[in-house]
Amino acid sequence: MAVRLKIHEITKSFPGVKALRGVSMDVMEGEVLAVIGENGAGKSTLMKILAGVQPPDSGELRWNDKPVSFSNTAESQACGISLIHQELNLAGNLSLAANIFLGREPHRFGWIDERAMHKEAAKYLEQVGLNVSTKTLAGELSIGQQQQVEIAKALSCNAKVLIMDEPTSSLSSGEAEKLFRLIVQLRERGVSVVYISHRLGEVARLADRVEVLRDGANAGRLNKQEINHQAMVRLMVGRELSQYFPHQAHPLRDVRLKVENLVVAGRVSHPVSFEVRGGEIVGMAGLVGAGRTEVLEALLGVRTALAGKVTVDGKSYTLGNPKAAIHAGLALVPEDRRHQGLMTPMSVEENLVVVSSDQRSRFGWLDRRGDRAAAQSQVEGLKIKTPHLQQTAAFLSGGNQQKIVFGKWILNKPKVLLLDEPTRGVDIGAKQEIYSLMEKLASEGVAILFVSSEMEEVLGMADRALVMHEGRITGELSRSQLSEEAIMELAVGGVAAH
Amino acid sequence: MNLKNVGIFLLLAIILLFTAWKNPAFLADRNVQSLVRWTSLFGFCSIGVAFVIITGGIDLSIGSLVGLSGCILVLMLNQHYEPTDIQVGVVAVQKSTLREGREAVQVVIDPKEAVPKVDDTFRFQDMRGREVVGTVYATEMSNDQMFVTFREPSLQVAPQTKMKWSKFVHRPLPLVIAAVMGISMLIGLVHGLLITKLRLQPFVVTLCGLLIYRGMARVLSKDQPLGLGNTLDGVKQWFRGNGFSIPVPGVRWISEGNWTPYVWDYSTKAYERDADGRAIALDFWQWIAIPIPGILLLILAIVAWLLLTRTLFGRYLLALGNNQQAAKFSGIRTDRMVIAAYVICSAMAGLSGILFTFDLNSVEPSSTGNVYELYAIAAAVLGGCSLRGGTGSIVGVVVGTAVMRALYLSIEALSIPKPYEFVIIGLALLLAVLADEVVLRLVQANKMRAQAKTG
Repeated sequence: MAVRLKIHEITKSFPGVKALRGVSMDVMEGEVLAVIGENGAGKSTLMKILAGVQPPDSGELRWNDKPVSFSNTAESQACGISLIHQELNLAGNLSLAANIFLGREPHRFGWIDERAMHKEAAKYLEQVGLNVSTKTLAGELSIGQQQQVEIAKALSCNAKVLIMDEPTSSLSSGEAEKLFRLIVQLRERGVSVVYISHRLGEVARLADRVEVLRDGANAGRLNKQEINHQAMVRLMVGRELSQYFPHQAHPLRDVRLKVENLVVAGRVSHPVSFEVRGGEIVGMAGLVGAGRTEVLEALLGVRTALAGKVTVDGKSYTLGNPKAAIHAGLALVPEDRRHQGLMTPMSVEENLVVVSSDQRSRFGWLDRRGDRAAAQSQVEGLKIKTPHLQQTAAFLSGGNQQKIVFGKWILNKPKVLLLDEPTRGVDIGAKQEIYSLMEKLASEGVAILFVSSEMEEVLGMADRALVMHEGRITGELSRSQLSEEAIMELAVGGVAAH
Repeated sequence: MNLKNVGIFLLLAIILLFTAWKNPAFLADRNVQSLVRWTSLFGFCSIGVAFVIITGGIDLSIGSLVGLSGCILVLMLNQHYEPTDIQVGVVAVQKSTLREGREAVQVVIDPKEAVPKVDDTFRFQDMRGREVVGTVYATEMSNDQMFVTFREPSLQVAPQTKMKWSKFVHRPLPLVIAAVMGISMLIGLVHGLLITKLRLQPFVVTLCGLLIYRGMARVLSKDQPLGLGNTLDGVKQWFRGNGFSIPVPGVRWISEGNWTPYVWDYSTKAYERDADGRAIALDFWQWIAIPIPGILLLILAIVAWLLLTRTLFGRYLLALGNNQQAAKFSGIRTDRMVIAAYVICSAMAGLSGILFTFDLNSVEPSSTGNVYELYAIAAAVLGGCSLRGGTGSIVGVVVGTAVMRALYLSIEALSIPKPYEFVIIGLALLLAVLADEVVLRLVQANKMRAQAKTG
């Protein structure tokens, strides 16, 4: 097989970080090359350089052994490279055909040739196995289908190298299966797929070769027969991970969180009831869209609960009022850190104290010294890596940002901690710290309820698991009953075999 | 103080110095005072709208509300005559000269019978037996006698007659001010409720407000100008006066066009000297009295600054302006905060309407306050507020207002024809915002380069 794209000694710096320090790799014709690494390892930067979004500081790109350089995405596309972003970029109010040919519409005398456009678009949609009319509006499709449209768009640009950044992060497992089949088809047609993912299971299954990046440099490469979970983790973190999940059973205390017949507007239409005891870590498993996030949000009161009664330590609080929920002792680390967890343009300190500063304040006046001390205590206690307290939160890594979200709640001394995908977009080192933190809080008597789509996280951390399917709890598994198969069966709607 | 505030201060200095270079008198005491006065009167609106802009909203109804609150102020004062049964005897009648040089009639009465005030009237029979009305222009006490000067020059009062006294009265000012402020805040509350509870867009809600309040002002006033006349003279006198003085460096040298600090006598071609033979120096530090509105603004600006930087409310406002969802997820009652911001904004507009009325002594229902919302928004943006919300500094906003007013006054001082006014102000604003963006990008690029080298 010939080398299609040669990446040679690429470097790139941003304010405060050297994102790439001389990365090299080859992309062969018709292969699936997985690029893995912790967050901040430089994967996204490298892909942006390949796609012409950013120029490299130094280094060389060779396409079919000829040097190339891209100053914008159009140039890299013309060369044959297409990038499919983690967040899809379709215009929801335009038809699929219009989306596929956006900016490249077939035209005659300045008029768009609609008929030719739809005909061509239909051809590419067929190639990616999407059976919908080209006149459908993009916004009406599911995320998985939109991704197929993006791939069709790339094919219409005659892409030879298709870069996919975390393509399964918001897909259901069924949709992901479809995507994997499509990737295999593309490979057979000679398209090279550069596959970026955190999900090592997918990588092991799909990749012909794996390139591992660490701290902006090559950390190693694995050929097909060498690819396994442990080898990848070892290269990513640079050390063996012993005791990945620090789980221990804690003595269970009294029931802290009691949910009775909760019905939530939107997804959770069947009454949901459960309990979490002090010192207990309960995992909430299920497929994306099963209604788990909705339950957590309704408990905090940021989503409307239509019915139900919730008590913390035997005392009920008004649903639909976050302030009351927080006062009752609830805390929620939300799924979407950038939009729900943090005020990214504000400082580390302001983010850390935003929940608890009203306890320190007097008659509405901020206790600035107290706030600073509180923020400092969390920066030290959680080992948040920041140059100073006034640093803008946006400049911190995902793991450190997540620690800030934890820290702001810990300062409020929660009784019940709700975690929604607590380790999403967080690198392996920080993941472990978060697991240890969950352990520590549980040992102090906090009741923890966490939603996770990572099966091994639920298996590794939960004392007990609740599984949801289409807005109802389909089963409950004790630690001894926990297995991937048992969870999956409940998650797709089956009944637990007791 | 951040970089943006330094920039806006520099811009103000450049405008002032450039104008003074072309026309030194621009920095004379009185002109500096007029700059402070106008900055202050407009500054209340700017501070108010800054709170709303920080939430990511906008208030377009400010100008109309300024007009409406002025109208309500005058109407609620309800200036009218209240007849009394008191008969006042005329002791003597004499001619007198008014300040403007006009002739007037002065009547001497016994203060035990009545102590009339300016604008009170007396009814009596003139020498031909007709009933006439005289309006009091001025009063003066001397030797247990009261000298009442009438405004009407041809009034004919006979001595030893009786006059019937009508008092000119109005509702008590504190009550009226409280009512106007209450109405303004109620309007802000309605804005806030419509925006948060019914999720209407701030632009639309306040655009409707702009039309409605202007219309209401015209309806309530029957589209006639409303004046204060001589009512509240004491308050107005105080308001138009000055408070304490502060030393300002260098303005005297500039405004006198005399850059050598000593006074040059052109006739003797030598520096002027005092009796002891020392050269008379122009003071480098010029003491300039701050107009009362300036002091009021200073107080309110400090309160606003404390509110924004030292209280939970301010912290929450900035937080929700940055990310409303994250603020909600942190238990902040975002709706209440947003409503409070609109209440503050409308209250400031209402206050501004009251103060403009004191300053101008009258309200023109169809024009007072027109486009003030745009001045306020421009000043807030100049002062570092982002229309996306989440950032803003009170110092910046006040200086931003000063820049707007300085531009106006300098156009006057440079004798630029009126029609160019808006063109110049618009271009200057555009340049300022452009420079701000360009400088910011240069600074960032520099930082990046420096770090690329060391990293």
